Amino acid sequence: MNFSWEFVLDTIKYVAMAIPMTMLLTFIPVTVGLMLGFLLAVTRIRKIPVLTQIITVYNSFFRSIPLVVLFFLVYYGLPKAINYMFHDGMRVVSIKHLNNNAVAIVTLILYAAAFLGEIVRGALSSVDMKQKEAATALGMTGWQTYIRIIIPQAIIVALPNYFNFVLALLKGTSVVFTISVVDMMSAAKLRAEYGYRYVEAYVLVGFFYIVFSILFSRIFLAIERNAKRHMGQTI
Amino acid sequence: MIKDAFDLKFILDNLPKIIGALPVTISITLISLFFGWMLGLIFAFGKVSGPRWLREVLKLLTDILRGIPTVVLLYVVYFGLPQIVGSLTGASLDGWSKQTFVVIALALELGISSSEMFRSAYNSIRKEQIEAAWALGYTKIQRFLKVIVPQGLFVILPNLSSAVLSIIQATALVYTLGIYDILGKARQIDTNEAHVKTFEMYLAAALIYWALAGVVTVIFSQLEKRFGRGRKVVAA
Repeated sequence: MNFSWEFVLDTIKYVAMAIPMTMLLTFIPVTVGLMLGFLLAVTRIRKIPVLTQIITVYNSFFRSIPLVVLFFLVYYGLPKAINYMFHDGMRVVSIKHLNNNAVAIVTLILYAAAFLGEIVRGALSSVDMKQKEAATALGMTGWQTYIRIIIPQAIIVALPNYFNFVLALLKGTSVVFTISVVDMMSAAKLRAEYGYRYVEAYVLVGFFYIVFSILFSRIFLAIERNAKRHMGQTI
Repeated sequence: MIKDAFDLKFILDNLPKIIGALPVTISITLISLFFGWMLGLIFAFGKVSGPRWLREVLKLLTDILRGIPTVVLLYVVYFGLPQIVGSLTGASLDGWSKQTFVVIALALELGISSSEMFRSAYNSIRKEQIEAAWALGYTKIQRFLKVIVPQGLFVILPNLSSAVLSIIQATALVYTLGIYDILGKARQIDTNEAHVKTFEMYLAAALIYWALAGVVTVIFSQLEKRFGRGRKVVAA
């Protein structure tokens, strides 16, 4: 086997230059998706009619379909949706008017919202009802109860699942090459096809993902411990 | 200006053709699940009662395979395995089908992720149960099949279900290797139709994946009912 170290060294800088894109694709969706997911979760907990059913279908759809198919659906569906809504169904906007990076981020936000909504819902409903009653007895309003009593406790429950999702999404973003977004994987793939050195490129990019995974999981573990300490929990 | 029509009829007409590719997706899923869970049991056994060096190796392997995206692992196996085998033994893997490499990659990933699940299921079985099996004079194999598996299976059913769902989703990547699974078939039809009905074809593929996930969910909720029969529900 002729493993070319020269090619690996050359490819490192291409992959490294794509690190910011992978990070954007991971951290924008888990931040915006968390806010959206929170709204979805509260809607489902309050059992608001019609909306609750729509969210159930939405969650099931986004959680059941491979991410790569979701990318294609949004990529080709978004221009159609815009044309139907604003241009009377005439083909005014097409995929060449879209920014692929924006499409990827929008898709990932929608995807993250479905998963994070479920995580938030589980965490919010895990808080003991007695806590709510106690807060009401103390004369707190609904929002005060949420912000001061329920959310801080729910965060502790949600954190491990949330961080797991972040790590899963970090890996999940690696399929954006299918819609021509240049993240770490995509950069490696371009170099691999340019130099006909597939093994080197993919082993190298795999190494990048492993390092970031280990790094983030260490950081997340430290945050979880810290959060628990502040909540006065020892477990 | 051309009308940007949504062609429902086109979806309905081509749905049977895409469903024709369902056996490809399902067979890759089932074979990967079989070997993945086998590997998972072996890894779990190694982690529980293997020698120290083996546990260290498995721990390193776990870190590596947990951090690597499925598509990267798939490509490393697909492009790398023939080279490694070639340079070590001189044998050529040219005769191997693409599906074989896909199954190896998916089984490896599942093996590592399921080994943790098997281990914690094993630990969840109470010690007295195992002692009781000893007292009854069960052999190791009897103990495993009659005591550990029936109880452990119920504990891990939800994890098995999500493993099946995630493998199905992972198989969608095989179109990039030129395998005509559900997504590959949908893309092929789209190409044959000069890319004018692209959205429709992806929507058709999405609907099939959605239905498949629905079927898996129903099957597992039935299994849970079956295996849950006669179990005392212990309130947490």
